[in-house]
Amino acid sequence: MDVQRLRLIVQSIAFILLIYGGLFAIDLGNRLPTFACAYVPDNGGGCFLVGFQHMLSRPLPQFMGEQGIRLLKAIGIFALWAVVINKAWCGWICPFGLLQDLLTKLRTWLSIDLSRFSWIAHKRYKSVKYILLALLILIPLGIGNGLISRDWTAPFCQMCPARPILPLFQGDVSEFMIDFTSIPTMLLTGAAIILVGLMFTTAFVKRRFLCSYCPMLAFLSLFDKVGLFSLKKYGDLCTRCGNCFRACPMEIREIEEEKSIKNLVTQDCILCLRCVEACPENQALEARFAGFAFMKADAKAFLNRQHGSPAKPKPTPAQKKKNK
Amino acid sequence: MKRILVFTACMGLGGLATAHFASANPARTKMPMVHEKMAMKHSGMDMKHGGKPARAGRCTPMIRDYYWLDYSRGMGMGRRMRVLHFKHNGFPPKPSANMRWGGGMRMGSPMPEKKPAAQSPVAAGGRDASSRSMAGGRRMAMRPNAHGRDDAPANAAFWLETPDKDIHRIDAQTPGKMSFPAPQWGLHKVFAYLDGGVKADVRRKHFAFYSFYSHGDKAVEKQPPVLDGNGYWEGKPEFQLTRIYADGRQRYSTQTGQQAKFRISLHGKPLKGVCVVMMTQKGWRNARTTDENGEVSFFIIKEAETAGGRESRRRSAKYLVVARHMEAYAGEIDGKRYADTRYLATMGLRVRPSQLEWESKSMAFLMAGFTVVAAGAAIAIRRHRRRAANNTKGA
Repeated sequence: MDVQRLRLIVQSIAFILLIYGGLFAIDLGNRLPTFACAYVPDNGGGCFLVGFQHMLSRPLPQFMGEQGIRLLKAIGIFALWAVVINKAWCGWICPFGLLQDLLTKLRTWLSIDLSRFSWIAHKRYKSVKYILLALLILIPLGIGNGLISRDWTAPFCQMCPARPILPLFQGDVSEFMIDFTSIPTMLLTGAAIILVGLMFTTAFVKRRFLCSYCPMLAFLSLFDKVGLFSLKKYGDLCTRCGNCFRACPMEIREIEEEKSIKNLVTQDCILCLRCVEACPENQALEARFAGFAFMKADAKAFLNRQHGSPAKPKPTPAQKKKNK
Repeated sequence: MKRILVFTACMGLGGLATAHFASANPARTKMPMVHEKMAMKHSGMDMKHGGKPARAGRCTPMIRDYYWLDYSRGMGMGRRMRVLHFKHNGFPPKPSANMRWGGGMRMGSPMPEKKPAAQSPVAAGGRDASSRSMAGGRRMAMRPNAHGRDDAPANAAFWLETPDKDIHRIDAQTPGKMSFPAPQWGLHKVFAYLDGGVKADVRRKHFAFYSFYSHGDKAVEKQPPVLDGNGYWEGKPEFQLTRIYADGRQRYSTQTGQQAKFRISLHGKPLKGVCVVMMTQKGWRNARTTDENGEVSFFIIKEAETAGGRESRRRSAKYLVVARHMEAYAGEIDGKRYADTRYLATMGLRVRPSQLEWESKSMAFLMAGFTVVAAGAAIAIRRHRRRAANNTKGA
């Protein structure tokens, strides 16, 4: 089966579970490392970042006691999820990622060309997600210790573009708004709305544009080395044709250029496996789970995808006679 | 080009469908009638702030001799103790210690007057209060308990119902003031009962109710529930004032523009014709009588306007609901005979501004649309320039 088709199916099922799961009494917990937005009225699971920000909004001495244990427990659950399927949360489960992928399909259907950032720009903007991650940790700590106004509570949730968008799938328009309570809330909710606009526009220019700046991806990348899900490259088999780089929605250059590093799950990788699918060299790339290679680059499969499965040659009249 | 046209048409149709859905769903989009005049029209009353009701009858909004539970927030994040005051009369309450004014005024609170810095705060209005100005906005702080009395006779008893429906006895540390932990996650209910004794051949029984939501604090140990109480607590208070939610889901805050419904019952049976009064901090009052099911509903009006025209969702106002009922129930207590029993129940509400007062959806849609257009134009221009540059190079 085509892996990308399988991925779309898995993403759709995950979307239904996470957005409508609550309607069927499904609850996958509120420590999920994906944008299962807590603002969706009857969601089937909750995003880890919501609770994480609220848990950090406490005075520092409290972390020496019960609050610290609760925080460690939450991070432990998150880490467990992250270790098991690693960045596949982003590539295979994230509901917001699915929306971006669907917009990309729409772009393909409309025959609009992609644009690419220059390599320097790409490198420069890569750090944005780490800055956001640092802020979403520091701001709640500042709130808890009386240094920052409570209007900055859960800053990332206030500016997350998933918050206005995902509740719309349950007919809830209440989160698509600008909060005029104070200047910080106005700025943060305004930023969320601008990001929504950018998501729709940039989807026609670049694949998974917002994922490049997602602090959840930055958080997950802390567990890259210990994740059971991995992506291996055998540099000696690689011909540097560049197919993998062109197929990659996150435009990861290392996947084409690297020859020495075997594990290719980089900061931005979302484990969509498009690179493995696009690789024309036998076994140059392989996806592994707990050391077991479940998908390998295959020249034959690559050619089949490019040209369709080879049709059987029609028998000549001489052969027909022979068969008879 | 053809595909782009089809896509644009689909988007337009989708937008129209969304608009139609939004207008057809009154629960989400209907503007609540938050203004007082509308509320008066809605409630059939014609009265001004502190005025007298136009409708004559036995049920008047004048209430005397009532006890009520007032909630004051603990200070700082992660507070563990809840603080409640049991007060005698004195509603609307005066600003309390942690009440402050920033860019606007707190909903329903009287606007603090500007005073010269040299003036003694105690001398200002003869009130035992202190105020100070801070850079970047007005800020006012007053001493706690300087206004509104914590006044509870020793025989007042308090209980806490946790989300698990366990009942705990609460002890008042000082007369009328109690602080207690709320270890569980969910809606907590506090009941107060006071036997007012016999006055003018009428026995008076006072009940007070207050609900609050707690996010729980597991650091506080769960207390053992009271099983039998002191004889009064045999389950529920005999005279009950209960908040009813249309969809059965309890909420921890009430918003302006909502209909608040209450049920009055005596010994578990709904009471018809009980006079119920709603009071707000500015002095607006409304009186209504219960129907056959013992139910009465009030429109939660908006009382205060901020200078900027927009409210803060974090500001709340205190509203009080009072139900009174006289029953021809004779008896004797402490050697005093009485012919009737007067039941009086109060319930405090914290009312927050409705969502429409602090948010703007139209602005959000406009901003999103503007971003799409601006970013789209920027991308188109960039592509056009790049193509032109490539063509020049090629030539």
